[in-house]
Amino acid sequence: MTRSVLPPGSEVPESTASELQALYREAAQAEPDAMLDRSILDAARAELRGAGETKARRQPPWWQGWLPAASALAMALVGLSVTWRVMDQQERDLRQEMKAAEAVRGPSLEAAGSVAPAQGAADALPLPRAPAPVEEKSRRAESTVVRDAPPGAPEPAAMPSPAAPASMTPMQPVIADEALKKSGRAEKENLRERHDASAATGAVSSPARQAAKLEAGSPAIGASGSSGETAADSFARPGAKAAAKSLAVPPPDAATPEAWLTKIRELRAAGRGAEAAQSLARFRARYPDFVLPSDLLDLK
Amino acid sequence: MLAWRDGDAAAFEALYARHRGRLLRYLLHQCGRREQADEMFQEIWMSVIRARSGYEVSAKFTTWLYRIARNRLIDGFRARGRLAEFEVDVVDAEGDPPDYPAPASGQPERLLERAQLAGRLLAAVEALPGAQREAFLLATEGGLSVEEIGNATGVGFETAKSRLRYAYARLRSELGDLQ
Repeated sequence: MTRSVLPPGSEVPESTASELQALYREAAQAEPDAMLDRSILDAARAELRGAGETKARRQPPWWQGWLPAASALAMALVGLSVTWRVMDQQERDLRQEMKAAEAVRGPSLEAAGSVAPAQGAADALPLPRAPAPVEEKSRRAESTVVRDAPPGAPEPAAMPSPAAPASMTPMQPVIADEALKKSGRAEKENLRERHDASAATGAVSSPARQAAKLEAGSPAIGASGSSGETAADSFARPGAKAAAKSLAVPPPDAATPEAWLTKIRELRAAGRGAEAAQSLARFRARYPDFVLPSDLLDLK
Repeated sequence: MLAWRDGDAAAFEALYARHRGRLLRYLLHQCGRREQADEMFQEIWMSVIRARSGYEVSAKFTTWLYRIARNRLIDGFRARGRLAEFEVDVVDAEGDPPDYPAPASGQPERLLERAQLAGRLLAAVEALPGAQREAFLLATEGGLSVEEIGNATGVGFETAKSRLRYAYARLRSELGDLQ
């Protein structure tokens, strides 16, 4: 629908008015020149830029909005770092204390020549980790004994826990000392005799294995008070320490020294001089303070 | 205009492209001098640019634009001592247009001699009394309705209608050979 160019009630015909307008548009062709256009458009753009700059000047930088969050994050990181460092330092101190304690107690444990005092020492330490290696060690030793033990040998597991003596009062080891000495020696001699027998059949075990066997035997001895026995041995026979070190505690070949010496004599009489000499060497390691009979002095 | 107010530069360019020619011609045929028309044209658009941030929709943009232009024209006429010429309202709302002499420089006969019919029309437009010319130009160049012309010029509907009606009647009488 075309819009009327004439107001209502005009005496001029609509066609004439339209023709006048068309003629006017044909005649009136004036346009602003390009320079004028450019100046006006540039002014409009400048107005927008200026408004943008003013707005940007009014607005704070974008990172200011993140400042509180970044501060909180940084504080949390610092707190975590400090906590971690403190915990790490505490753990390091604890390890150093543990090492120091082990270094202090180590020689006395070696002097005792037994694992049981180590257990006692571990119990004395405030750290829960200390007993673990000892238990592991004795467990390994027990398994070794079970493997190496003859079919008729008694089960070590059936024996009482080695931790029991550790709970004894200081008086108890002294009381049990004599009984321990007797039963321990009997056990050691018994083992040594067995070892000699196996050596005679060619099944010579290595010193390390013998030591393992002896270690495994320790809990068995400890059944009647191993810590007491070891302490008694260390106090009564100081030379035993050196023997234990050099021979790694040889297994007893007989229940008693006399029985062991009898066996040595039998080996020599049977013409097995080398085996008799080896058994005598183990005997001397085991009982360094025992006065050898004169008939065995030349068996070296 | 609202889009440009909100920062759309392309909206202003579109607005300018739509009104630039018409506004200039309106100014040119109102004041009769190209230099003055150009000067006023630039000032009017600068006013539009400056009014961007505070622009509120109170009327059609064209009406608003031509109201600015008219004000600028009045300032120009006043400055040159021709305000009476611009403000002459030779008709009342109800009466017939009076006989008035055409300006000497704008005699339709002279214009017709040196130009074709279009030229005769332009001369006739220029020869129109100020209020009628204004109404005619607002309607022809600005595309405003009678009501909008009244809004742009600050007069009532009937006055605007009479001015426009008399403008057409005068032009037709000047260009008698149109019919």
